[in-house]
Amino acid sequence: MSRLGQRFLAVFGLLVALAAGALLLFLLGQWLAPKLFGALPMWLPEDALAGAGYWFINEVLLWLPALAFSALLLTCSYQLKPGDLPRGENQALVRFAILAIVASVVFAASALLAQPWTAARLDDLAFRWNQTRQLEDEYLKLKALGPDKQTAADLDARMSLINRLGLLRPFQGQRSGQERMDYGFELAILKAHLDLDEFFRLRTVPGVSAQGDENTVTIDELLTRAESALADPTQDREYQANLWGVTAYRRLMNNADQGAPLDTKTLARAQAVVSLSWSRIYEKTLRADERLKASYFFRKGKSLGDFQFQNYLEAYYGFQELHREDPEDKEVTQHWELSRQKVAGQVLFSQEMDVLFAVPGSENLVFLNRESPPEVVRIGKLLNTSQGVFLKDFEFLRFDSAGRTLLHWTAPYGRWDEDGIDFRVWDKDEPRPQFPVVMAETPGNEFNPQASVDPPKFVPRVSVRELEVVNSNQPRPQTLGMWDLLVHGRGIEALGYNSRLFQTEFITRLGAPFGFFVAFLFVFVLAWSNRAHDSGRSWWLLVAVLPLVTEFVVQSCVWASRLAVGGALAVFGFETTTTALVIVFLAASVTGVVLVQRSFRKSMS
Amino acid sequence: MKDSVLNLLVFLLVFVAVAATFLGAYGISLILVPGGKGLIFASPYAAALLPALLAGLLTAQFRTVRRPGLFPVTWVLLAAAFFLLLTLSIPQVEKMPPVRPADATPLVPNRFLPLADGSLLLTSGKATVQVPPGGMPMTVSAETQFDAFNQRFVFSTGDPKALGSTGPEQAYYQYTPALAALQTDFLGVYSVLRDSAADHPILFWFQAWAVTWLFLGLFFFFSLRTWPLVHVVLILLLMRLALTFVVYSFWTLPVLVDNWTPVATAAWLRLWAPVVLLDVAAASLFFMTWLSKPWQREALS
Repeated sequence: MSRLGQRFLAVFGLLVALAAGALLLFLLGQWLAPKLFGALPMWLPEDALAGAGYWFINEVLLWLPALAFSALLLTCSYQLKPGDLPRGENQALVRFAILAIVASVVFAASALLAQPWTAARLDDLAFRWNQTRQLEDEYLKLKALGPDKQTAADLDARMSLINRLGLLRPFQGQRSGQERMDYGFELAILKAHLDLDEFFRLRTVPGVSAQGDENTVTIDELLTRAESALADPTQDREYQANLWGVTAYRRLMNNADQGAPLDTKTLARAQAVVSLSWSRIYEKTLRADERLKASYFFRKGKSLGDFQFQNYLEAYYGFQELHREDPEDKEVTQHWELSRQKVAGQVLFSQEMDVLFAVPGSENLVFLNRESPPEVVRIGKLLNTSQGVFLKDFEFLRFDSAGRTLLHWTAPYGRWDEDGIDFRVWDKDEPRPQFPVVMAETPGNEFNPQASVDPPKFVPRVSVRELEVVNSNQPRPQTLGMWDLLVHGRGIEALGYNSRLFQTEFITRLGAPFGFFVAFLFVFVLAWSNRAHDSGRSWWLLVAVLPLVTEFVVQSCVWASRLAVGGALAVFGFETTTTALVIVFLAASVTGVVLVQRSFRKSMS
Repeated sequence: MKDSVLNLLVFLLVFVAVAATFLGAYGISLILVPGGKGLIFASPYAAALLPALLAGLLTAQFRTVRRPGLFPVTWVLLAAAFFLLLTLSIPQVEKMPPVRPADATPLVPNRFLPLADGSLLLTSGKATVQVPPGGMPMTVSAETQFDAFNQRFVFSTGDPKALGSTGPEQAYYQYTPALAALQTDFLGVYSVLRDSAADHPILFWFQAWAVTWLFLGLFFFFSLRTWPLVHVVLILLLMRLALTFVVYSFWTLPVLVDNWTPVATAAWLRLWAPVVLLDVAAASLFFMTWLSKPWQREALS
């Protein structure tokens, strides 16, 4: 290797080591003293090590060009003397050209391959943290309601959330430390709660209020009282026993929520008390009211008929009501489950939508139809999932040229498919639809004037296929590979959108190694022409300071080149811009090589 | 004496060249982004003033330590030129038509939406924005927001071809953090001087002199015997630090004065304390310059 290469590599190695050390110290500072150095980027605990690694590599890669130029300046200004060069300007030029080409190839590998890859990994880790955080927030919000205020739907939602969290972070339990909750523990508690809650909820007699000391006496005392009340069937104290049994259960679960072990024997006693009291009340009620009994069988028959004739929504609510009345009826329970499965493809349940939208999605999408009359469609949140595209807080507004509202309606949730947006949203527990609400309408602009029972689908003038473009969570261009940039850009163009962003990134990234090569030539000329002829002591100052200045210049040049390429693309188009850049590069390269040769000649003469 | 005049000419020449470069860059940016959206300075002339002055000063100082002429004369000429250009330009710049309303808050992405009547709508949350496809009737609007206060939708008819007209583009073409910090500091210094020029002319002259004196004090660092490259890099960094110091004096010090002094004296102190602090720092550098005599030191080549 030539002395030029050796000395450049030595200085470059020193600068990279110093920069890496500084970055590591900064990372350490962020970890130990976040108030002083700023907080570390947010990563999940199991991703923290990988995240720190990616962050470190990404930062080093970003600094590489500045460090290379600084090393070249220092080498050629202070380290290299004309006597160190090979004899003959052509020999020297060849040696330098080899160095410039090798440096450009290394930079190209960094800019074209390594940087997008690390940036994409960092974005993935940030998204994982964000997604997990939002799901945990939603879970903890429901949990904070407490057992007394939580409904069956809340428990279902918690179960759904904890299952999704478990899928996202299967190894969460293996990491200790600053976790807000232990997924495994929460799941175990929930599983125990879910079945038991269903059991007690269905056997709780409504309308019985506590009047005594139920909340202060011990659980054991409560159950003893209930058992003695049920011991003599002639006393008619089943209602009281039911209340005591349910209260004992709730207090047991409260203790379990606090982390106390669940006493299975006491729980079994509570179950037995509640089951026996409820059975007696049910038998007595039906025996006393034959009409109610007849009604039960009549409604069951109707629901079975609904199911048979594929009126699944009616069947679902019918069986649900019957299941509440008699949870022991296995036929009802089975058909209720079946109808729930059938209904899932037809309507949305608002409670399930609440849980679904706990994860991050695109927010505040606004579509504008400029044709007269102008229309504005706003979507509060949009999720593109494997189950379909769902939207929340839909708002439609049509107005005249004077800005007066002609039609304005909103809908809480919807599902968007190729045929349009479906707004059939029902409450999971009650047969109560949550269809769009009309805020304002005028003659000739009524919402859905020919509608039957269900709201018709709304057909936006943007197709669901375009959601990929609309999605705010689409990857940043900086994180896409070269091939993906082309494919993504083409896809966007095919939809009729402008792909300038992806074209700009493609051209600037492709042009970066060539720009680096040209800059390498010019920096050499600058350094060699201004090399130090005299002795002095303070050049070492530049080892620490010069990379800071060159980094500022390099980043500013990158920013300016993006703007320039973007502007040229907007004005001249892709082909002209690319051709112009090739010409500029060729001209700059030739100029650079000539200048380098002249400076060699000057120094040798 | 001849070199003294030449040093002054170098200062003026570089000032004009840098200012012209800035104005040209602003012109191109206005072609690409109509309306001056995204620019930190409302006026290109205001944006060019301080960077051009500092670039001119650095170049003139660099020449002065090598060819000082009569150093006191050079110093006085440079000080007078810097001071006069600073003080006389600001009122003139304020008379120039800005590229967007001068009193408007600098447009920060996703924070303010300019309305047709010139007012700004503070947006809440993030708006997802995409380029409207040409010719399609339903488009994703870049700037449509619901103004809850007036119960109306507002949207612009901006040029979709304009650079940075969409959310992702705005993020992509955003200033680098270092560049944004530098421009913000320039804006901070300029806006204080501009307000003083309008409200407190006497204070304005003292502030402008303090700024001039402080940056001329950087002559002291040329007394370090080293190579030209080290000098240039060092002075560039020191200029950045001096700018941060001026911003601290103009913006942070008045707040500290408010917190730590009685109400009766706070109003007076908050105006003059920054000037005193800057003058003390500038005087220190000035006397060190005269003691170290950088123009008499043989420069390394």
